[in-house]
Amino acid sequence: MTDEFDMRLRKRLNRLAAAVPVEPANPSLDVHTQRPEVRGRVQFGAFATLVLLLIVVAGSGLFGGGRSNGDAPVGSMTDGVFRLTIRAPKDHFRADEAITVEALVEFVGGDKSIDVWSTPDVVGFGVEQVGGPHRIAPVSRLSCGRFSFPSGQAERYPFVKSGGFYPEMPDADFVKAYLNISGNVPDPVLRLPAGTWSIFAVTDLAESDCGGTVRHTLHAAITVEVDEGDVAIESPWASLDTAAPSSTPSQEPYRTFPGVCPAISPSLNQCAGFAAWAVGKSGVTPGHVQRIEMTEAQCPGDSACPTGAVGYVVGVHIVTDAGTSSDQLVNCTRVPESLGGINFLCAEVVTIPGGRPVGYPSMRSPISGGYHDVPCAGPAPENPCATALPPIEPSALSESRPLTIRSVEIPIDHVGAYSIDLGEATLPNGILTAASAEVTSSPTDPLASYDGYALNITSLDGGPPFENYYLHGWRPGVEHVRVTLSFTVLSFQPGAAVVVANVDVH
Amino acid sequence: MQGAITPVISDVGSLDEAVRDHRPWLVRRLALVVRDVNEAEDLAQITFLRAAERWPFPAGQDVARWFAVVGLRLAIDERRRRKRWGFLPLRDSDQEWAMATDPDLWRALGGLDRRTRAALVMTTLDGYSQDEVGVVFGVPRGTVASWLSRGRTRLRADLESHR
Repeated sequence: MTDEFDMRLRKRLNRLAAAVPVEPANPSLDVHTQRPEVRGRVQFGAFATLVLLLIVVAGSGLFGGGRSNGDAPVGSMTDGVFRLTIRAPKDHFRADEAITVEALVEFVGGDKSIDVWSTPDVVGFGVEQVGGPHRIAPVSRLSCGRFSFPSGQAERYPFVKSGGFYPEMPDADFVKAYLNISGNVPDPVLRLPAGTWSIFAVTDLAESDCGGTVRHTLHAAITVEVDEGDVAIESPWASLDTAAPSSTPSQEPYRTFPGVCPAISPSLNQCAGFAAWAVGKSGVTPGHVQRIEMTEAQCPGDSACPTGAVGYVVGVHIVTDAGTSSDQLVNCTRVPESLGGINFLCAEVVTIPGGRPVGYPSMRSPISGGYHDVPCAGPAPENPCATALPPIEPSALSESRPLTIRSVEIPIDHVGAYSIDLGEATLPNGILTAASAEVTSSPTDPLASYDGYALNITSLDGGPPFENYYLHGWRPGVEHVRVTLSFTVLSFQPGAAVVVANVDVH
Repeated sequence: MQGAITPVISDVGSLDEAVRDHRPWLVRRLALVVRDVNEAEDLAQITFLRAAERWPFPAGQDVARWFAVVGLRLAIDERRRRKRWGFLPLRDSDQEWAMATDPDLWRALGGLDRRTRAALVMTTLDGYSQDEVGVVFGVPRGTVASWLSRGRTRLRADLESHR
């Protein structure tokens, strides 16, 4: 019975949906038990009027003498590999008083040391009003670096004030006051208005690389009481209508990629990732890109990038060989915790979620996985349904000549599209049985190709493309074909080369 | 019905609140469709970014429905985009949470394409009509009916073979 089946299916789907491990978007702040703030990557998206500030406080040795007294609050969390601790010298402050906080990160995993990847800040700090509406989650710089933690040696991270807001955000005034934005001179010292506050630290350390799936994400918090201060001071909380930053950086001129990269990005690979993303978004066919230009752009929308903004916006101008052009913006400002995390495009090691770094060689060939030319339940590769190849005549087989190349090196001397003639082959009865090759290059090579490498088989006898057996058809004798390798280079360094190996077309 | 979409009309004006309220069920729905929690979370984030660009929604806007429609469309478009770019082997690996809960259903769902999974989740779990699903994916109602019919048949066969 359909109804009965549907009812059972609904129950089972419900159970399955309920089992999905969803991390809370906005967890409460019980020490030791909550998931951390720092979230995974977020896809690229223009978030027009976001303003982000990161203010670094110089290390001050506040805790050099150890715990100051019995009221010094300490919070910590460990996952068995790392321990994150946050502490303050006391738990009562005045509203006009600087609140001194620091975090400690310690490797407790047992080995001598461990290397992990993280944003340069390693630890982010935020505050939340206990029983109140105010909450500020930390933001961090977007680049990613490698950090070594010796066992048993706690690394200290002084409090760093950071936060993000967009003008329409309900709590924007509070965030601005917290950051004490006035004339673009943020106050790095933590001061809070009267009330009970949770001050928390978060860290997100990845093993193996910046986007590593083995992660140590920790969250630790302390609670402090803030009383009304006795002394009248120039407090940021006195006026919550502090003016928003008003500086408008001048627009830099566009310069040609990849020469512009050092001025745009800390990493050539990241810069190439911007170009790749922009070309993909523009819809311009890669082979028709004549040149790419970039500039450090202004934040889109009404709000300009403030001095010291976390992240940046890159304008990409793509010019085609037909003389047309397309403009794209790469927005590397970071969005609030509730709306995102690290933008993979903006990391120094540009990676695609669940995939490979941009520039990692991948090979496409016309019959990868077989001809896809029979009715399928859905698109391949989700629903592969390759056609069985028809028998090949022995006479045609003996007349055919495969193309096999053990290795060939292709020097790279320009940015743009490449089409390399690898040679010719003859196919028995016009049937392409195999077309494969390997490209050896590494993700760290200066070479970047966002669309991978394609092995193209073209008939020299006027035959149709080799994408569909029924359309291509069977023919008596042999069919002559030309084999080319095509790819697009977005950046390279002198001496760069692509090595193509084990070419096999028959 | 556990986890079903509860229409929430946009009159409060807090995007943060909307994200907090709707993210869990949206990620759950998307995880069933794309079969990967991380990807589902990414898609949910993109959905919220899109919402942020439009916020505040017009009065009377059904926020949950907007999230569902945009998220599910993204789930389909993202697949297309990744395929077009050509360098992304997508993960359809078994997820531990699913294997621990209902491995037979999980594997059976894996035999369906994304659109059919999405249509099945929307109609069976959230009570969308076939017309509404058709609007989401830009196809006629008959096409949706066909997806669902084939999907149910295949699911039933797969599930009964495990009995």
